Amino acid sequence: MRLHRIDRAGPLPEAFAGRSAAGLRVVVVPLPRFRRASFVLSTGFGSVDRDLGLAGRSRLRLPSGTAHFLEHLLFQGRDGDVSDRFTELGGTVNAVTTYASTSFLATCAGRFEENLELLLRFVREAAFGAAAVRREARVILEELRMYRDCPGQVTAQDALGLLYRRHPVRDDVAGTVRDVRTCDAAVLRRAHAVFYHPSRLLLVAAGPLDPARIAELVEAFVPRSAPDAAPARRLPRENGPAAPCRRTRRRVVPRATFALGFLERRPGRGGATGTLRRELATGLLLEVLFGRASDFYAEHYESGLLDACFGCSYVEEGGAGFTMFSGESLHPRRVERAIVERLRRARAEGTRTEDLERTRSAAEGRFLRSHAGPEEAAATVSAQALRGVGRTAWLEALRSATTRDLDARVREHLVPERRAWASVEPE
Amino acid sequence: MTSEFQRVPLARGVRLHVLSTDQFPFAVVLVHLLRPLDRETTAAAVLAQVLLRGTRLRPRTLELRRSLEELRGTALDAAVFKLGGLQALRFRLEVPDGRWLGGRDLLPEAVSLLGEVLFDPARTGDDLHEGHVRQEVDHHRQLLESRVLDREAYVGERLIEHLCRGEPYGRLEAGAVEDLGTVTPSALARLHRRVMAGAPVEAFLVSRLTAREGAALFRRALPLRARRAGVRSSTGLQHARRRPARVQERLPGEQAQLGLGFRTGIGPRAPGFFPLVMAQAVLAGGPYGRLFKRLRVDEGLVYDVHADHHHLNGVVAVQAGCAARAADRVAGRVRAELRDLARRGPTREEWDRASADLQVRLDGVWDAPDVRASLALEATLAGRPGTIGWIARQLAAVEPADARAAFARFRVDLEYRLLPGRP
Repeated sequence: MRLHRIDRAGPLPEAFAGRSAAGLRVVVVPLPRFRRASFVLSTGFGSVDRDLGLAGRSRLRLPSGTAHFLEHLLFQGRDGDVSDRFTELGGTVNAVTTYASTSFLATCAGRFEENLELLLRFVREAAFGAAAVRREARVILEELRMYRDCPGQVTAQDALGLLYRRHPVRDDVAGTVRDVRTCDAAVLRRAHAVFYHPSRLLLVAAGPLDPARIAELVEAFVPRSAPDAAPARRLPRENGPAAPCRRTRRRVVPRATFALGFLERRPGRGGATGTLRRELATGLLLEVLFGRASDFYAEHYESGLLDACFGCSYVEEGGAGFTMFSGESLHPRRVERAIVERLRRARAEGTRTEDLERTRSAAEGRFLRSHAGPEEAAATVSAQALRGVGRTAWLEALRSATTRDLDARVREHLVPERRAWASVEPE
Repeated sequence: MTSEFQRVPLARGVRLHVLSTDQFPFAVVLVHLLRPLDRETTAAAVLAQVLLRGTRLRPRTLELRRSLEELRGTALDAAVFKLGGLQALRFRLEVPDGRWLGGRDLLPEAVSLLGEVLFDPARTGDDLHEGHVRQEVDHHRQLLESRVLDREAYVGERLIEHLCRGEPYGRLEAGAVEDLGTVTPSALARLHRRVMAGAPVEAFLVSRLTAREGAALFRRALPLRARRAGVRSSTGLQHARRRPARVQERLPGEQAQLGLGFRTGIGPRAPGFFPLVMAQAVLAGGPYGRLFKRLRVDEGLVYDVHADHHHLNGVVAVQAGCAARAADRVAGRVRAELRDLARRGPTREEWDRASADLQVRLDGVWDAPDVRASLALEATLAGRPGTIGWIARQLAAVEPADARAAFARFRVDLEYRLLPGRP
């Protein structure tokens, strides 16, 4: 495998990318001043992958939570708990499942090659049996219980359930209780065979590493296998609510927790570049209108309506896209009215150039800090590579965003009439 | 460039620790003001937030926040936490390296802004800004009353509150709602004067600057004058009750949360300290820990189980979330595993994994400026060295028998349960 230099522009550390003979994509970010190395191995298998078109017109239907269940089970390797093997090699390992991907993260301060080999090996094995599946189901059911006791999780999931009627993003990434209870080893193995084929995998390595050596190791550790056509996600397209909708749960809580969602009607349009531009424009817009240096935040923090729990972000992945506001307040309905009113004013007045420039300058500084060390750099590069964009493209898109782009996002996306409100409020 | 912090006394009771490095694309500044955990703990926690609200030159919070954005998104925050019998007010700056962004060096302006925040706050007459104080008292009340929304953190705090009732460490670092009535603009102004003039200061700077340049920058920007006394080591060792206490609370929900508090009587300067660090790792330091293996991997009883070692007062707190019907079984298993570890010690595999994990964590500290500063600060309060190399040598010298002896010192002092149900 030959790696070529990418991301030459800007202040970022250089990076190298290539594809192994087995089809595995590799990105290496050499950070020679650090002691640790971080390896992130990802597949584009997330919680939204429930209905897939395979080669030969066959279809694969999966219960909710399959990607997350598999993530748990892969830790039960052929030789016992994989975490123990990493520990013995002076490494640590963790994993995360999102709507559109599963990532395994290994970090170590030595024995880099052995840690990398173990990571590349265990993720491609599916050594679990039926007993392991039953045992792990109990653990995941505990995890779901924990989430259901967390008002922030409940409101975010309720808001997504209001925005989406059929799209799998409406279900918790960990799945529903019924699906977790009934998931079986055969289904999980089938999903593993499809999504953990080397051509589905992306490895990002950051740390005091030699890119050429990493390329050699990947070739040695990941043998060629028969080519495999990529599965096609089959996802419903939704327009979201036609009018404001809401769901309120009453619980014994000291104050309300809320989530206010807005659905992106055409996620994925324009490919990776289109998504990147929407993410950046929406992110900048939210910062200008509702960030810590906004008039909105200052006014409502001072009035006591909001506090540091308040936040908002835009997500576009797995055929879904949404902005979600979240926070806690003694007066949740006033928060909702204030956000809606601010959006209406933004639509009428437009974005001021000085606000955009200040926010852009800060965003650039924060992006630099997202490369603070091997873990941060690997996570940032991995998230972007999974979306099919590079860091240079990200910086260029940030630098080229205009007030017109931001104003367009207010008009087309943050439409108060199509909002979904969810809250957990005191009884 | 240096590999360890260099300590520079700026005045009596005021120390700057400088790590000169170009490893990071940002600089970190940490200023810790250390005061007792006492009746003014709540007021001091509010004070930290009031200072972030504005300065004489930038009396509106919005102006201050926009100044930070103009410094390429420099982050400034304040936090309070406990260190033995002390409350630390920590102010933290993270400043992007402007030269990486093709611009000017932002650090001097950022430190100068921190100086304004700490020493020249917005005022109403001689008092701290009336509106800022009133608003922050309200926010603090809501924060304290809403703790229960994060059940895991809440259980950890309640466990220590009950375990250390009557001791300074039993106070919550953020204080208590009932103390908020005394937090007024004039009371906070007085507290501000006392803290800024008298509280020992441990400051840290991680940047390209040498120790000499860093000290000059601090002297220019922060008028930190001599204190009556420097920081003293502060530990709070207590012995366990004869009979363990049991506290149970109820809150509607699905999962039970358990907390078991153990006293070991092993302080940070005791010979048993590093064996206790190893024991905590063996018990529940990560996925390799005895409790994770037995309770999650083998039995599927819990999603998470972990143990925290409160270094300065010898307390170990074990926490787990489980189904309510399994609470007795989980608590029983924790106690049984501890008895077994005290009797037979860790297995070879457990020992090797715990050793390897602590080693990798220590190696990782080289790349983490905030963790390095925390280690150095704790070592100062414990009255012992705190360099990575020294800690690694102490850990390497621990034998399994030492850890077994540490396990034998575990005395369960309190069991706390948050169970599903009506309060």
